[in-house]
Amino acid sequence: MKVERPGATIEELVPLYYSALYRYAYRLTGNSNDAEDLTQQTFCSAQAKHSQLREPERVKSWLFSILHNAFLVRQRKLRQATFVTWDEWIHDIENRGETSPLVDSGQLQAALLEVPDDFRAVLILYYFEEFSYRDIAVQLKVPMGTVMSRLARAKQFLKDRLIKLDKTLEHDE
Amino acid sequence: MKCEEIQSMLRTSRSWSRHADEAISSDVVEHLSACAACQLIQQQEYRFDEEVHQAMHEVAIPMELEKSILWKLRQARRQQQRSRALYWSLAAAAALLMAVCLSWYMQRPYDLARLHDTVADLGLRRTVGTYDLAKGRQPADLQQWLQRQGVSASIPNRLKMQHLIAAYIVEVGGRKVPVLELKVGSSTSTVCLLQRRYFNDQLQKKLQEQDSLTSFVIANNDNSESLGWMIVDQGSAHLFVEGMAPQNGV
Repeated sequence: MKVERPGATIEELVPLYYSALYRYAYRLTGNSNDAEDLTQQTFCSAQAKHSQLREPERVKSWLFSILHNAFLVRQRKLRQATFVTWDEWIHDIENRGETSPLVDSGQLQAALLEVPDDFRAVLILYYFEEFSYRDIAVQLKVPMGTVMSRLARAKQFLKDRLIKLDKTLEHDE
Repeated sequence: MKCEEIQSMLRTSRSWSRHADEAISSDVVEHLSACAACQLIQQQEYRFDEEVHQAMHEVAIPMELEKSILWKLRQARRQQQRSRALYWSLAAAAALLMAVCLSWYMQRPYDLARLHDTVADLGLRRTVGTYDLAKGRQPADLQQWLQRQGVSASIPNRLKMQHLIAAYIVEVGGRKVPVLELKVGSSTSTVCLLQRRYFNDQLQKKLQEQDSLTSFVIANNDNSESLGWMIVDQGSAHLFVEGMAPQNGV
């Protein structure tokens, strides 16, 4: 495995991180075109802001943070008028079942897209890139306690959605 | 610890975490070894986490993604270089414009209106510097003093230093003008030393038309750096050039 050296150029970082960033972008957006755009945009922004990188050893976290910010900006532009209210969402979580579903990648994506943006990012980072809770808190600019509470709720919501999807599929078959 | 607390903790702990500070504590481990219900929750959570963790990574990476990112980066860098070049071109143009303006400012002709004002109330003007006659009465001494004051006007050869009773500098429209006071017999004359290079044809013409400078002569004498003397004597002012007879005797 290639390892980044301190002071590496952005072009040198591309082969190291583009796959991970693309996966993260894909899980955030659920769309390969958007994920591709976001990944490219992340590296271009990183190139423009490279001088602002204070801790080269945290470059991976920094790139993920750029991607997440770009995603939020994009979401704000695209946001539709249909929202799930906080109460509805909490209600869903509270009425969950305890059985564990068998997870399929497509179902996972469908369920992820139902999770509000901020919660989705916590969830993906938790499962996906082995960032510490502290890293996630820094990237998302929220306290660690918020990360933990969002994570617990989002995880339960995900479990609930996957069970529902599983049942729907069984029913269709 | 209560089962509820343990189970809540287990829901956010990762079985695969590499971060030491996220490992479950010894009292939780102890509780788990003795509690079948919590053990079951732990197994369910870990199984769910493992499955999601695995599924989360099942994303096909587009074939040309790396190439397209590198291409975009090069394109962005070229764009940045073009912007930088444009920035420096604009900066150079601005610097050139400033240099032109500064050059014009340095070479601008005398401000005639201010010159008149200066001549009219010389006695009331605040001086920029005053020459100490005790330091020397030779034209060269006076010339050196003027140079030290940042004034490049030359002292005409015709000046008789024994007539000099005072020398000082006043400011006219941001430009330093040396003023000499001369006494010949009972007549006292105040003389402003002006420089040819700050006169243009238009200004000379205007000067000739001025009534307040009652009688003056302007002659073209290209060899002289000083255009002439402006003499104020008992309310009348006279301008004449080096090499010509003054209209009002010095």
